[in-house]
Amino acid sequence: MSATILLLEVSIILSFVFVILFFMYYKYLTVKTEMDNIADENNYYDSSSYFREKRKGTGALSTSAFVLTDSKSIGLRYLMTSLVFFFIAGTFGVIMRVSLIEPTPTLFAHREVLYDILTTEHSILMIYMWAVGSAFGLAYYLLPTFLKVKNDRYGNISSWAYWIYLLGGVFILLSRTSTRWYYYPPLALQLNPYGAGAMNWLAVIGMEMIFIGIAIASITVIRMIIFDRGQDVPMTKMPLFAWGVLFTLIMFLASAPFMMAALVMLFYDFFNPIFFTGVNGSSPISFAELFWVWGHPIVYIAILPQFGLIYEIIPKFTGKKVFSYSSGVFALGLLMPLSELVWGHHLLNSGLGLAWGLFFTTASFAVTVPSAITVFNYIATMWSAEKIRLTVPMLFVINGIFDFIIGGITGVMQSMLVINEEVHGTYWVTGHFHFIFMGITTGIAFAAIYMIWPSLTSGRKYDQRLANWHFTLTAIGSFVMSIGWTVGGFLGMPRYVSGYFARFQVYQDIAIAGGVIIGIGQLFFLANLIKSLLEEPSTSPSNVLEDVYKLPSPGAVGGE
Amino acid sequence: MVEKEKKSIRGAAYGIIIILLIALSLTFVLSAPTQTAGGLTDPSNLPVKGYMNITLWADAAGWDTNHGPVNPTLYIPLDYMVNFTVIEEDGLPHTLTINKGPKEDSATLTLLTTGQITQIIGHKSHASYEFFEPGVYTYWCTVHPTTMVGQVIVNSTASNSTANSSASLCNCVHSNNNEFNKISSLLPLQSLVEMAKANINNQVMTTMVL
Ligand code: HEM
Ligand SMILES: [Cu+2]
Ligand SMILES: [Cu+2]
Repeated sequence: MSATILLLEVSIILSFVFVILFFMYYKYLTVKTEMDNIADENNYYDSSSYFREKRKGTGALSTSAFVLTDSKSIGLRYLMTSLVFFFIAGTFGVIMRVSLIEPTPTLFAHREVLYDILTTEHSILMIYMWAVGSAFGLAYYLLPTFLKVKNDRYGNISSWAYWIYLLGGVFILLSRTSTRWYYYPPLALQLNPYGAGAMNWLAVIGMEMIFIGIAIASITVIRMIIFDRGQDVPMTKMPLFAWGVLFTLIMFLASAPFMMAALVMLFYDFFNPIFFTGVNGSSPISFAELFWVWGHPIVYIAILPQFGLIYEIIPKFTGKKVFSYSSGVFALGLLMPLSELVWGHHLLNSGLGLAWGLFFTTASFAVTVPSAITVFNYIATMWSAEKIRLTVPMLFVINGIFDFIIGGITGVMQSMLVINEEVHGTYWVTGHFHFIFMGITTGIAFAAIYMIWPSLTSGRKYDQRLANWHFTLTAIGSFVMSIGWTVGGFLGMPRYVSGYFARFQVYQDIAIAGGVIIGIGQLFFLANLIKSLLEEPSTSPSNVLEDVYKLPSPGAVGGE
Repeated sequence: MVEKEKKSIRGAAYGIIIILLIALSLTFVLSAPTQTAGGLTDPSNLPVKGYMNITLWADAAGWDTNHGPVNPTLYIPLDYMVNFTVIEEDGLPHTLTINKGPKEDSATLTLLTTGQITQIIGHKSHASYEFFEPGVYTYWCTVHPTTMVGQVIVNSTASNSTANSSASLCNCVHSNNNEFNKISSLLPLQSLVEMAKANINNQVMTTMVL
């Protein structure tokens, strides 16, 4: 395809998109004006807050969240979107797993590129739409209560940010790209219709839109945390979840520009390859470097808010306060600068040289310090409790901590120059991050969702049995899958390929068993959600996570 | 009553929307254009004019015919079914991949994958392929694309005349390097072949017609 036609297509599609967006905005404005009038008559400053508070059911998972622009509604949008993408990307994952039943491709025989598409879509959607999306959902939903925010402003901007982000995610899906989540050129630059690259340009645009959406949302949330707190919540007494979110978003704003700039340069390379293709001294490695300056912080962005949430969840089940608030804040804060310094451990095999290699290895070791402080803080908090109530959210937390310990240790191991030489590009790495993504990112997101369940479903309780099944299958499945990968990877099983050497069959089969178990487990969650919505409301639509901060004197309370 | 029905519809709608979206995106992604093996897979029910066996030893230094010359050019008559036997020689991963054209490109068909060529030295793996279009093909190993690469020449005129033209038989893999092994594996379907067995002094001992 020639550059001119490409440009033409891009501009036509973009103009259509903008026309549609404009129409939607017009419609929205009409309704909004009416709502504003009603709210005004009732002495409310912000119409969305008025409607959320006065109308039954608008605080729950419902379409009204997509129209209202108060923080809670925005949070619900993000939560719903992230759940949908979790199920889509999860299905991709299970199908990939199943296709590896034999050493030679079975499902995708002679169409191996489909595997490459699935693995790319799975990773991008899971990281940006599920991990980041659910974190934003919980932040927007919980923080106004946690921080006693009085003046919930900037809802319009957050709303725009959400739509840009969502459209970006949809573009990623539509692009059917196979570049892997790191977009390395020259693969990302090929426009070969059969190598699943025909729409790579759309994948680049979609990615950039996701970034723009997240950037805008980050700024509004940072603003909310720093400037819009209620008077009786000083910075030093902020809930740890707020600290976690704050650090995450600062980290995002400090590292995302590298990737955003790299994507623009990559896009330019479609027309005039000067940046990354190897001509005139340019090099694909420069893209890899720009990517990983962002690529390592993103993996911490996917756990820092959840780390903060764990601090919120544990006290509800032990009845004790967090063991050490200050060291909690300190550790979360220390993770932020350190995570910015270790990105080179993803490129230890790319010829950075021994000196750089040693630097990044050492820096990666340093990351264990704040990680360990955090984990010990959790353990100490649980240790000092007389009794721990082991319902599903708490089980998710304990399992998450356990998984994080394994994932952290394998992470530090592979940061060593020598070991990295051995395990780079193998399933060891896949095992490493799935321990953490499944245990912390996914597990804690579900724990929080279970805790705010009555609010999400306007006053229903979740079914304990189904939730227990969901937890058990998720925990067992992800452990089995990740351990199969970790062991197989240590023996040299290459990752990101649609087939494997016959001698690895046993590890692949273990991982398939785990993957299928996880997949079945998520069906229990879906069943639980549907079941709840079919029932009559049986409890008040408040939830334990938020209730503490609504009480005049904070103390531990029991919760479902 | 109405209220309750509305709720049950809402509950069901959630499930249906999620499942619908999953199905939609799955079918969309799985229907991505993939050129099936670069157009190399044969249409079914092709007539097979004959069979031919080719044995190759897989070695990172180059394909060879039992320590013969590396990367031999293979001559194959049109519409012949070729049975490839690949013997693992160095314990490294290899593939047997072909494409149409004088050089490697992306429209390929992998006949034997790294999974099938098992990295167990001496292990034999088999695959057959019917060359149904004349022209120059490339065969290679995707793991060692610079060293393990050779050409296949599929000759459309040869196929009619091979039965009696011994000249084209001589070009076969087995025949050009070994003085004592002039048996070619090029056997046209339904034809008479005269085989003569000679002793070391080149005196004919027996002849038979198959
Ligand atoms: C304890 C601190 C950690 C250390 C020292 C560490 C170290 C590493 C290293 C060295 C690699 C590169 C492996 C290779 O490709 O050769 C890696 C990959 C990865 N890590 Fe970590 N890690 C840590 C924590 C985490 C966390 C918390 C996450 C988030 C969930 C995470 C997610 C990932 C991901 C997704 C990759 C794979 C990137 C890719 O190549 O696609 N890691 N880690
Ligand atoms: Cu990293
Ligand atoms: Cu090879």
